[in-house]
Amino acid sequence: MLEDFQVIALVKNGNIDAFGDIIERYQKPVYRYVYRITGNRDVAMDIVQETFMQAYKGILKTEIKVSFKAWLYRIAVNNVLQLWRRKRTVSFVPLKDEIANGALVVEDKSRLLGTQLDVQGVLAKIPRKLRICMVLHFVEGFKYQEIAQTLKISEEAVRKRVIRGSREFRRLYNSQEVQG
Amino acid sequence: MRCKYVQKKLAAYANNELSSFDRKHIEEHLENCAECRNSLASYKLTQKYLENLKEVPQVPDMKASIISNIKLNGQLPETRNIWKRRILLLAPITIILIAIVVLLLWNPWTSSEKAIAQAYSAMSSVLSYHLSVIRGSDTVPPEIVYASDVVAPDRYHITQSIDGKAQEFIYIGDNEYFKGNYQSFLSMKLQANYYTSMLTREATLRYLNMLGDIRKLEDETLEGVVCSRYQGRYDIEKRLLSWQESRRKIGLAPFSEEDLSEMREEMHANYDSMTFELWIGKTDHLLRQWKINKRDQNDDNNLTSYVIYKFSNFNETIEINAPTDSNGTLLGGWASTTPVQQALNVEAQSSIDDSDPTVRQLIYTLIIGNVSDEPVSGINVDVIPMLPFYDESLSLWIKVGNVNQSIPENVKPGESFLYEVTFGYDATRVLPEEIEAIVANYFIYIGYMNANSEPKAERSRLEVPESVHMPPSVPVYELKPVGEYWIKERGASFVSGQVVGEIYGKKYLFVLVDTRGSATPEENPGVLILDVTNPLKPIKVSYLQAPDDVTYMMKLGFSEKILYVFTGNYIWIIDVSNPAIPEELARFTGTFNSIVVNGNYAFLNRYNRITVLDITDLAHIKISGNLELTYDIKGSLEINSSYLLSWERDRLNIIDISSPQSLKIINSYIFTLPSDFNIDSPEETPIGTHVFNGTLAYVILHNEADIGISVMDMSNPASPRELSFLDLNQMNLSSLFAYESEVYAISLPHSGSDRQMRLNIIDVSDANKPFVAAIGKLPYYWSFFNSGEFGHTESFSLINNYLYWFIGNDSEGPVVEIFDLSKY
Repeated sequence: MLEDFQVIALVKNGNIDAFGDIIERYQKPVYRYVYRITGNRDVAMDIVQETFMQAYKGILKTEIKVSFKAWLYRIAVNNVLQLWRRKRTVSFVPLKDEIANGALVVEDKSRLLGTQLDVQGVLAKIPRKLRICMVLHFVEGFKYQEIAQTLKISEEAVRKRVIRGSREFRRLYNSQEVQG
Repeated sequence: MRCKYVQKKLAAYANNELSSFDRKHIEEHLENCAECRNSLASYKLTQKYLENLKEVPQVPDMKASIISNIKLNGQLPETRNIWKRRILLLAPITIILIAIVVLLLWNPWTSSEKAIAQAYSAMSSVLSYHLSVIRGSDTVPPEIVYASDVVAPDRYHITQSIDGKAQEFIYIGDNEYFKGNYQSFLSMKLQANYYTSMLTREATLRYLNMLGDIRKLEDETLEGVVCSRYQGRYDIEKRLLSWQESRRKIGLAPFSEEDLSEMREEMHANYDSMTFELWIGKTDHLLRQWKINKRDQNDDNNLTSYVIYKFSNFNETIEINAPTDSNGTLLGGWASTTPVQQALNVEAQSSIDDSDPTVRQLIYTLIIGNVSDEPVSGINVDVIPMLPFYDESLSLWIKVGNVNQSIPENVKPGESFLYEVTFGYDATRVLPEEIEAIVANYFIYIGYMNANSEPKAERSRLEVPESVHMPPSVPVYELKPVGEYWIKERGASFVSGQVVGEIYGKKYLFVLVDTRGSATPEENPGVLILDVTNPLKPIKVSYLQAPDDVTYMMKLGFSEKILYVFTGNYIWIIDVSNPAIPEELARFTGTFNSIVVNGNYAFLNRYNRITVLDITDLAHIKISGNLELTYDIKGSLEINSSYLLSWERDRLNIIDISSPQSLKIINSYIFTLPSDFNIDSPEETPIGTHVFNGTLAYVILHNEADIGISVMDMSNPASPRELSFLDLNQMNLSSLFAYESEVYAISLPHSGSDRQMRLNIIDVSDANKPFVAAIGKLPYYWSFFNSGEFGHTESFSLINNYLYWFIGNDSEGPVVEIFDLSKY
């Protein structure tokens, strides 16, 4: 298996199929990441498509200065932010149709925890900036320094957002504001 | 240690990535700081739950389509077009959501009983109505994306179009019918209830109240009804203020300026492009129409889109019938979630745990059994409010979940499983009528697949037991300080330790004043000596600043008119025989946690080691012995008769010190631990703090689930004996004090958003039967200050029966709040 930078060299040389390796490697985590912060599968699908298209274009055009992973996630984050900006929806309410999906169709393990806590639903109530950092850290396993690289913010800011987000998560979890 | 430093290392600490030195320091800080403990607990909890989000169902393989797209197009499509398409697809739901969110966030009601009652009363004042939601823009013609007919009490007919696909829902009582996508039928009904709750005069006022820059436009007649018309913007500042207010109500420290400006920025980004218009019936003051205009700033043409909520046909006859033919057969395309025969039986038992009335728990245990002759699968249980209401100030929480097991995937005929629903609330604040209204507003909704893989659903309600009316089983008081003392030494930011000592019949409190993180220029820390002979009025006797090489001080020890101050690098030994003029005697290099003196010998501890010092000549201290224990020593060492006591993880060691050069453990009393305690993990320490009172000792024992106080008979120091154990479920105990026949335990509630610290007054006059005699609520720690960051908010001393509460603040300096406990 080639390293990211080797595959990228191939792509730069015009080998489109080599880009398939990149997609295979990252489509699941990027999809998961986008799905977890937006709470919407359709949106996640679209953004993953868009992210890889832009990544392909980016590889051809630019020199990637940070780790490829951080760079790719940054594109995904920007796409999500762009979507949010365009939609101008409020940050902490999950899309209704997705909540309802869980009401009957049991397909998402996160709804079937011991406590039956709707983790995704609670997460969706947390302000976006915090949510992005939390998902990168707790779900994607990014270290603070990697998140700082991805989001182009200071490590200190990352730390604050993760802690603040966690406290908000715990508060919401404790009060389980079940609402329709 | 300063909170900021600890917070920096919290993730590394939680993930076991720190050196033992750093870890120790952080643990010391955590013992004294509720805020940091809260952060750590939050981090761990979030980590635990978000782990589960790593699994994502059905990730479609997009490789082929992306690659072919790249190959086909050669050139990539413009991003903007993709988003345009996306917006069109999502628009109906998205825009509806904006309105719902805007409205939901705004709930100034003070009583949830009232809120629910008002929402329900809307249904009686308006017996039927029609609502259409219309969407359009400068370029797109108006389109009805949602329409509902509602007839009181429980008939609904809803149509919605998403992606050009129509969905239709009919609800008649508990019967649900759907056409097209069934997945969102539950939320559709709840959403309709929400719209209904908009139709009261109170709600009208509420919506007007959330707008700023209101302009009254010319009256307009809508379908024969003359309406007043208003236009305005979302009032962000008002919203932020009300947020602050609700945080105060539930006891959270208000948002900092930094937080506020971040939220303000986000809200401006969300709302600045929107204007709101309201049409209100001139005679009935009910909402007739509600319009949101949204300007798309990213669009080159400055496109404005809008959504209109139009309520009409009030109290006119509207027919809603089941989509069945005369034989009762479903019409084409329609399906129903109502099972032909009931498959599940729900048996509910309720109980109340009132051991702490401020977190009274109303617990329902549901036995959900399959009473049909076919298996059911894909079970999902939801506990759902019929009408959405949102009242954070109640400090109400709901815990739902199954008991000790996950919900089975399949339940065969005759099988059953358990499910638990707990409502937790402060019974001293929430009225029984309120909890009745709240519980009655919830229903249990169980969705499943029947043997033919058809989605079915059954519901049940919870009966509220009479016992919610019982008065609190323990008296609860709001504690009010009877005195206070502001520590105004330069640079003082918090108090990191304190010890009480007697010198020539006078009582003194020695206070470690910490200066780290102070908003004023950094000063050396110091020791403040207060005369507390009259506990109500502490008098400053002297203040001794630490030498320049000391950045912080960890703990204090006092013995025989000598004060031992543990700095990071050495013990600073001070003669306080004249407290007005404290004098340095010596410095002894080394880092230790506590000291206890017996004659010419001092016993100190650090990690799992006890060090014996010969202090005959304080200027020439000699190490005369050592003893290593298996685990780290918890808290301070003590002398009892001629024995040294050391608390370690799960045991109390009694050490013979008759020969200080060679200490010997003569007995290790091992506490009986709850069976679910994970004994293999050295990280877990069941012993918390403890306190002595005469021949008795009180020891906190805890694991992740349980906590309590063990009462120990120490009259024979060589062989301690447990007399009783007081279970203090649901509490998060920290400090412990004893005075005469009472023990005081400070705690923080485990659940809910309530952050008010409690003082539990435990009657121990019969050591065999201790009980909680009263619970005192301390004021919110931030209520004594106007601004600043807080640290070390959980530092206490007991002087006779006066409780001293030290609260750190970086800009206004720490304060000591004094409470007279004899009053309770």
